[in-house]
Amino acid sequence: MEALAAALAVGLAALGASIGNGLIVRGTVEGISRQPELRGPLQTVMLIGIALVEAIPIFAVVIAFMVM
Amino acid sequence: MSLSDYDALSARQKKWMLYYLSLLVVAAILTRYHTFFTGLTLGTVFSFYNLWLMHRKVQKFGDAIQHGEKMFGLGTFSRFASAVLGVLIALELPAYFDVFGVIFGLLTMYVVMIIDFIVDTRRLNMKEKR
Repeated sequence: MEALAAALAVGLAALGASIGNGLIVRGTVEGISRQPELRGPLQTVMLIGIALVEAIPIFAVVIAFMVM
Repeated sequence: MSLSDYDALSARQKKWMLYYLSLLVVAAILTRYHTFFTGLTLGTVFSFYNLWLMHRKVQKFGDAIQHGEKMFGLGTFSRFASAVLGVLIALELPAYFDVFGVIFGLLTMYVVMIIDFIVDTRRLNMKEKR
C-alpha cells in the first residue's frame, strides 16, 4: 500500500509539473523567438517559474521516498 | 534587463546561498543543535547544487533557442535525484543528519529566489521613480 501511495504521489506531482513546465517553456520559446533582445528578462521569469513549479514534485518525491 | 543582468542575478543568488551556508556551518560547530544544523547544511548544499544546475540549464536553453539548436530536457530528473540523495543520506546516517533539517534545507533555494526577486523588483521600481 505504501508503494502505491508513493507511486501516486510522485506520478501526479510529476504530471502537474510537466504540464506547468511545458507551458513555461512554450511561453519562453515564443517570447525569445519574437524578441531575442528580451532574452534576459524572459530567462529570469522562466528560472523563477521553473523553480516554483518544480518545488512541489521535488517534495512529493522526498515524501514518497520517506513513506516507502 | 539585459542578458548580463541574468548573469548578475545568477551570481547574486549564488552569493546569498554561500553566505547562508557559511552561517550554517558556524551554527553547526558552535551550537548544541549539531545534528539539526548538519542536516540543514546538507539540505542547503543539495539545494545550492539544484540552483546552480537550474541556472546552467536555463542559460543553455536560451543559447539553444537563439542559435536554433536542439535541447533535451531541463535537468528536472537530476534535481529530483539530488533531493532524494540528500534525504537518503539523512535516513542512512540519522546520528549525524536530521531528516527534517535536510528537508528544510532543500527549501532554501526557493526562499532565496523569492526574496531576491522581491528585493530586485523593488530596487528597479525605486530607480524608475527617480
